[in-house]
Amino acid sequence: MRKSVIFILILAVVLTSSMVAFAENGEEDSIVIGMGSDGNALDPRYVTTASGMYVSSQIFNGLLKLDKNLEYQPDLAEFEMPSDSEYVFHLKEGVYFHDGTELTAEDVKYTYESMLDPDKSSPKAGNYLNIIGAEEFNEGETDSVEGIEIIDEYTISFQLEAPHAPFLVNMNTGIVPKHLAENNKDDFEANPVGTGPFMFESREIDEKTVLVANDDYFEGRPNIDSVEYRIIPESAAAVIELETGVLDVLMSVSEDDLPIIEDDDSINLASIAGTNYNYIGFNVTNKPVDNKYLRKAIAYSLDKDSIAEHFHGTRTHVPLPGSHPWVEEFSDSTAINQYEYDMDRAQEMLAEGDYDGETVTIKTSEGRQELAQIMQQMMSSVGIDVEIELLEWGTFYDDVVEGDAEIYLLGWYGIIDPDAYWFFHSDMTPPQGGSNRMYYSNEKADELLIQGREEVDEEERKAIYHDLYEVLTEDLPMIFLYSEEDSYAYRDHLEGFEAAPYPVTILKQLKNVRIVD
Amino acid sequence: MSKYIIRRILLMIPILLGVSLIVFSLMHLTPGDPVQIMLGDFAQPAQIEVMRDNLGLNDPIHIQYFNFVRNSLQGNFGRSIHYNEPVINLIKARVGFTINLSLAGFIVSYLIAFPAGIISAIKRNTFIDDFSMVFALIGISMPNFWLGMMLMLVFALRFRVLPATGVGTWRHLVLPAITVGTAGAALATRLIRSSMLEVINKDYIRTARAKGLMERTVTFKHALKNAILPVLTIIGLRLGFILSGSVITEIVFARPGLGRLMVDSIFRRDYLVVQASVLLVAVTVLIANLIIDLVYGFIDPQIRYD
Repeated sequence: MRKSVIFILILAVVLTSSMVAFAENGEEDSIVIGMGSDGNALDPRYVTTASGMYVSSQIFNGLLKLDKNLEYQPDLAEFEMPSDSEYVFHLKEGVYFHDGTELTAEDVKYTYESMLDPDKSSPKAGNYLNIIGAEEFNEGETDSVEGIEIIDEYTISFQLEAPHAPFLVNMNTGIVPKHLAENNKDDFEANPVGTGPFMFESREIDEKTVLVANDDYFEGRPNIDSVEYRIIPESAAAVIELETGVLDVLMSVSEDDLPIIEDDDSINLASIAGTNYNYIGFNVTNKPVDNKYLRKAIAYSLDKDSIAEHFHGTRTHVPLPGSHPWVEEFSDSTAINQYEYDMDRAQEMLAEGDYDGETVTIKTSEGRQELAQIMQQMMSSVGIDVEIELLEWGTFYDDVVEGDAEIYLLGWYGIIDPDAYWFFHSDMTPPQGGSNRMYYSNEKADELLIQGREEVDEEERKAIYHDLYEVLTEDLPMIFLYSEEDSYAYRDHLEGFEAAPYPVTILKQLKNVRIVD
Repeated sequence: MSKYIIRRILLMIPILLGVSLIVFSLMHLTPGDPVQIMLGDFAQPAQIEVMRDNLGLNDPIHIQYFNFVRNSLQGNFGRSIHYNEPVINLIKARVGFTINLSLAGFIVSYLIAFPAGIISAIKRNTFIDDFSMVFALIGISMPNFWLGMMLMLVFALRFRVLPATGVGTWRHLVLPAITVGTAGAALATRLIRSSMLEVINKDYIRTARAKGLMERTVTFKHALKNAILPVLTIIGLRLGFILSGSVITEIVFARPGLGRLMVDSIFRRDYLVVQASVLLVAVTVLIANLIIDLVYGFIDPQIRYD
């Protein structure tokens, strides 16, 4: 008996010794932002995940930034275009990195060159290959990129092989200080230094990242003193933390959690049309979906409005082909076939395409399983025999890329330009690189895709994309389903909080947020 | 005795080699290219090649395996493809959180299981017995994530006495520990009960009672000591899984533990992280088993190590 008493005593000591006093610091204005997963990196040249970008873009500034209307605004630089294929950036003077050194054109040149450096394997290299000499440099044939030229300490020019309308989309990548980043990529990742409104303080991967206000920020010090990004994978738990006040902001709100958030008076919801769309992809080289009429029959058989409403209630938007609310001005809805739900038309198409009851397989991963089931039901009601193959994400994605799929379900996020070269051009068919996972090839479309990205005049571009969408809706390599709103939840003591579509999100506005009692 | 220990330790070598071969093959046979997943849709084929080269993924498969074993022996587990961070650092940062939770859950389990199991064995077929068996049934059937969410709703949201998620203080450990502990307690209670029931009707217990020993002495000294061997086996097995046993709880309570890292890494095809973590878990299981085998000898002197 005495032994067991001793055992319990030891246990008690072990337990209490691990107790740490829990003190809260009430003096600082700090906010805590909840995210579902941690970013893969903070270095802007390597970050590929949305959650990484949220944090990284507080530490770094790009040459340009997008505002909440997705318009380009100067960030570190103003730009001018001496010709259709040259961009000259004039850096703001007196902008300092967090270590006190001044930003110069050298840092800009270094940032872009290092992304193209084959030894550094930055995932962003592909965005800049149309700069003159970039491809040769990327293949290790030259020592520097010919088309990136320092004019003086605060001026740098980028010359392109040909005019390229979407070029500016990628000019918001954060600029890194050459003197710190060039030595050791890993040290820089562990201690990122930028020019941004917040400075890096600490990071525990998968737990939290803490940033503190940059007192000398060139646009003025942020209103809050620090910001902590906390990783909470389970969304229901994150909502509880928002309700208890541990979190001030939740970066993404799922449809299931919406009622709870709407019921809580102390939590506000900010929603805005997103830059995404969900789609049904066809591998047009595989039987039986190589039959255009079968694809059209499928498009007519789906009640897209009901599908969108089922998943996202009112927070959704059925987009025009190839677009979402932010770029749909590029296509004229009245002139393009929307494939409105029509069972008779679907039957007609099946008859026209001599569909003989072959089984069509939908491949999907867990996230879109329900969508596949709804599709199966709708498609079989017009007589199409549908089978669903549910796969783990990595396997599913591999199959789709390698062309081993008939119908697959995927989505695009962060599309801010109508350029669709990566998705539809025949040169972009895997494994050559690119995302034409429909294995789609049409000369007319290829031509329009090239014209669309080389035309700098906006009105001309609209006409080109209109023609392109006509070709695409006739061939129908993919069916555009719906676009979701981006929603953020935040506690009502935050003032100045504004929603912006991904990838802008609340990034640049965070500095203006203040806490009111 | 020392001969036995040395033999057991030597036996671990082929077992670990086997484990390393299995985990290596499984990861490399699974479809999905880590570089493609990492670099995403806009990667250039040349870039993918360079990165595959840098990571050694273009070497023949047996060379890759050989390098993995050789580097592991030198304590070099490489860098995570996803985080570009040494695997050993990622694991080090998490092991503490996982062990904390497992141990705390373990303590909760046995703080419930020992009294409940012993009492329900002694008071067999009474209300107390029925009650604890129903409790055990519920405990086994209840999914961890559900219990976790319920505890969170009550203690974090309703009464606001404990934090819902995160790590850092003992208060963060309470709800996850109860979540992990309850399922374990349920199993252990049933085991202790049946183990006790088996010995409680033995002749030597009757003898002990007949010679006038106090009931408490009979229960703890004579019955429990004999009933504990099978329980010890289960404890050993659970200790072996101390590093990998609570993935769901780690996700629900947002604890950056090893289980979560392993699962995330499998989905990302982050080979090196998965390989190193699985090896680590295997080593722990082997050591825990060895320790339990040794402890048998102390508890039951009839067991000899030859």
